[in-house]
Amino acid sequence: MILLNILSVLFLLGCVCVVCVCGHGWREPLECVRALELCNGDSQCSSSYRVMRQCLSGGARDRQTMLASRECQGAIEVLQDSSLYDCRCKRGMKKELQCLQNYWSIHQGLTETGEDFYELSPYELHEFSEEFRHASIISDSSLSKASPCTEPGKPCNPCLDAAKACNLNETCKRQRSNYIAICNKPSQPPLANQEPCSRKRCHKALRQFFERVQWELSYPLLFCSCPDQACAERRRQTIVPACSHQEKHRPSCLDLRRTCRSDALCRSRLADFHTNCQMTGHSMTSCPHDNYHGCLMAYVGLIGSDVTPNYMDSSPSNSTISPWCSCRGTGNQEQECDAFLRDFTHNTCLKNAIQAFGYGSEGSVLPVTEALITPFPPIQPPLNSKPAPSLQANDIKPLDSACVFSTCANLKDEGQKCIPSNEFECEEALLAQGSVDSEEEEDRAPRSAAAPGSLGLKECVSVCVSMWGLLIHAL
Amino acid sequence: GGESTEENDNAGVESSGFVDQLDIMSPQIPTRSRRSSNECGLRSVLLRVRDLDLGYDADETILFKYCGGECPRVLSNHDLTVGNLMVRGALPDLGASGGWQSGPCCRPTHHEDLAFLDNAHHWHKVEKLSAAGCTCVG
Repeated sequence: MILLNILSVLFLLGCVCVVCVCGHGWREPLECVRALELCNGDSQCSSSYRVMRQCLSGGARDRQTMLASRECQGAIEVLQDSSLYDCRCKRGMKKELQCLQNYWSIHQGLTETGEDFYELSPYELHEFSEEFRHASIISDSSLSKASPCTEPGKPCNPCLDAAKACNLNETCKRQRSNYIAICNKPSQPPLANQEPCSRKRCHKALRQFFERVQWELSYPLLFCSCPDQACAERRRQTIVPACSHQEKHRPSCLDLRRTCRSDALCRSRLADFHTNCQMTGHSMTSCPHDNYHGCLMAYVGLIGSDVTPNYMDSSPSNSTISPWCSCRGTGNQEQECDAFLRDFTHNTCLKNAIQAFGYGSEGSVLPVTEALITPFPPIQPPLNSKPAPSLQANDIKPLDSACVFSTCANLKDEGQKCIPSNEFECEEALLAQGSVDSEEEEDRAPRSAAAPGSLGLKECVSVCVSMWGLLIHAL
Repeated sequence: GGESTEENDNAGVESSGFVDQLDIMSPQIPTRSRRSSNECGLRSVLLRVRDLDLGYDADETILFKYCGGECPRVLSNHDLTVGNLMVRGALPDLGASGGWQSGPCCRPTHHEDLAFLDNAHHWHKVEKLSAAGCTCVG
C-alpha cells in the first residue's frame, strides 16, 4: 500500500513535470497547407471541413442561420480540435498564398460575425529577443558608418545614402530598377482616361522588391530619418506613390478594408499589421512585446496591397502615414472608419518603431512621449466588435477564467509571458478536482495567437489525467 | 533588362577607396585578387548620376560598370590577309590606319538598366547604362 502511495506521488510529480515542459512551447503549429492535407486524410476531419465549407457558402444572412444549426456547430467543434485550427503560415514560404487561403477558410467559419475589427494574424509570431532588437538597430548603424546628420556643415541625407547602399548591391539595384520602371511607365496602350500607370503590376513589383531584397537595404529606403523637406520628399517618393498609392478618387476606408479582406494575401497582411503594430498602453514603446522590428515588418508587408500606406506629406519629422482612403460620407459607420484610419495616422507604436530605426545609430530607442499619453484608447474597437484577439473572452468558461485572469488581468498583450505559469496552476487545480474527463474543457482554454506554447497543453493534460485516472482505478 | 553575369567573364572589380564598403554591401560583386595583366574585364567606378554628364540633376551614387583591358591578339587568316592587302594598298577605302581594327577587342556582352530619383524628385530610367559582362569579340 505504501509502495502504491509512493508510486502515485512519483506519478503526480512526473505529470507535473510533463505539464511544466508542455507549458513551454511543446507543439509547433503546422503550416496550413500541410494541416489541410492531414485533415483531408482523416475521415472525421475532412467531412467536418466539407460540412463547414457548405455552412459558409451562403451569404452573410444565411450565415447566422446556418451556423446556428447543430450540424454546423458540430463540424466547427471538431475542426477547433484539429491541427487545422492552430495552423499558421510563414512569410515568403513556397505556397504562401495557398497556406493563407486555407487559414482564412477555417477562421472565417470560427468567428461569430465572420468579420472582426481586428483579426488574428496567420503569420507565425516572431519572438525577438533583446539582443536581436538591438542588433537589428546596431547593424543598421554600422551600414551607415556615421550617425546621420551629426556632422555640422556636411550635407546630410540619410535617404540618399540608403539609395546609394541599394545601388551598390546587385539584387537591390536590380529589383529597385524593376519596380521603378514598372511604376513609372504609363500604361499601354495610352487610354482615354489617361491612367498614370498599371497599378496592379506596380503593386506586384513592389511586393517582389520587399520580398527579395534583404531588410537591411530596403528598410532604410523607407524609414530613413530626415532633417529637411527634400529628404522627406525623397522618402515619400520611395514607393512611387503617384502610381502605387494615389488614385483619382479616395475610397472610403471601410470599402478599402472590405476589398482587402476579400483577398487572402491582403487580409493576412492587414491582420499581421494589426497584430504587430496595435498600440498597447502596457509597454513603454507602445508596441506589443516591444517588438519594433515586427511592427516594421508588418507595415512593409502592406506595401503593394490594397491598403498600401505611405507618408502623406514631405514634413521631415512629423509626417502622417496613411492608406489612400478617407472617412468622409461613411455615415453611421464613421466611428468605425475613424478607428481604422487612426491605426495608421495616430499610431504611436508605428511612429516609435520608424523613429527608432531611423535614429537607431544615435542609440535612442526612447519612444515619443506621446506613448504615455493615449488620447485615443488604443484597444477599443467600436460598435459590436470583439475585444483584442489575445483575449477571447467569449470562449473562456468561468472555471478557466479564474485561472487566466487572476494574473493576466492587466496584461492583455503580455498574456504570453504569464500563461505558462498560469496553466501550471490551472492544471494542478484541475488534477486535484479530477473534473477533467473530456477534452471539451480544453477547447475553451484561451486560444491566443500570442501563446503558441499553451496550445499543446490540453493534450498534455489529458494524457496526465488519463494516467491519473488509471492509477486511481488500479488502487 | 540586363542580368549581370560577372562570374562568367574575366570579371574583376577596381574601385579605388570604396572596397570596404563594397564588401559589406554588395557581396555579389566578385572581389578577386588583382589581375596579373591588364586583361579584358568588367571594371567599375563609383559616381554620382550627375557626373555621368548625361544631363541629369541627380545625386544618387551608383556603381558604373564598363569594359576595359587588352585582348589576346589572336589573328585569324582573315586578319592576316586584310593586313597584307592594306600594306599593298589594295583596299583604298580603308585608310592608312583608320577604319580597321586588327584583332579582337574588349566589349560588353550585355547591359543593365538603371533607375533613380533626381533632385526634383522625378523618377528616371536609363536603359542599358552599365555593362554587365565583357568579352573579347572578333
